[in-house]
Amino acid sequence: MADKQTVIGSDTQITGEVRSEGGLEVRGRIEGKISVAETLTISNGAIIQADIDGRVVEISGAVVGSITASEVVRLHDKARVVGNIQAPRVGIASGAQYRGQVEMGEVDVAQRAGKAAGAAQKIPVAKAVARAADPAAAVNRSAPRVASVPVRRADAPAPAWARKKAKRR
Amino acid sequence: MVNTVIGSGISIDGEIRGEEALVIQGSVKGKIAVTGDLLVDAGATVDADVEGKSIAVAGRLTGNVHASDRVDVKADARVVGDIKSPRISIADGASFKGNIDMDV
Repeated sequence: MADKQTVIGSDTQITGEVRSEGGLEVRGRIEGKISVAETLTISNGAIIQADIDGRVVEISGAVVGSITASEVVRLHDKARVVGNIQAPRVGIASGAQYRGQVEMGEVDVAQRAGKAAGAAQKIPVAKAVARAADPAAAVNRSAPRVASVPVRRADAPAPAWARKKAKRR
Repeated sequence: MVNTVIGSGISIDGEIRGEEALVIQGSVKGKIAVTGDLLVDAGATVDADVEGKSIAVAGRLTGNVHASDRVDVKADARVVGDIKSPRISIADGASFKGNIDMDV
């Protein structure tokens, strides 16, 4: 059976978790969590209130939530985004509105897995739940310098944003 | 107008609401409520209560089905749950377990 490209139409809203092994285009509303193995396109008019994890993330709509991509995040003209972005490459077009912290650099697989397990790191409840579920993260509780990255190579230095967060605490 | 298509590589855990037609080829767990037509395509797995105008099922569906117009259970479909709709058809070859209420 031919696999049609997945589209969440403009008059559709989803509350919960959306996972895709392929691409995904959103024109409607999603509230919760989105993880996409390939390209995620958030079209103009879409309203997203979710943490996003993808390979390529193209945004022309409105997003509130942290965005992680293994390849690139692009904020196009008309995009409105509030939340942190982490990706090797980040593009913000003139006309896009953005507020948050940008972290460019490699997003390694272990870290992505950690982020996925940790869900929204800013949300204390989610963090607490993830820590309870993840023994590695529980150990990190005594080492606040790496607490915001539950799964990370032991030899890798803590990323700047993680150190900053730790200091703030 | 572009409708919503949940492709075969997609899984959704939660609630889908819509004012337009919805095609599901992937997997959905939770609740689906649309005011348009709903197609649960062959290969799709739906574990949810579904609500729509006209609902056609060719895949696997576990949950209660409520349609304001009609429900069609196609030949290769597997449905477990109660169906409530003014018009209901179940094709020869379909597997179904549950109550049917045509509001008679």
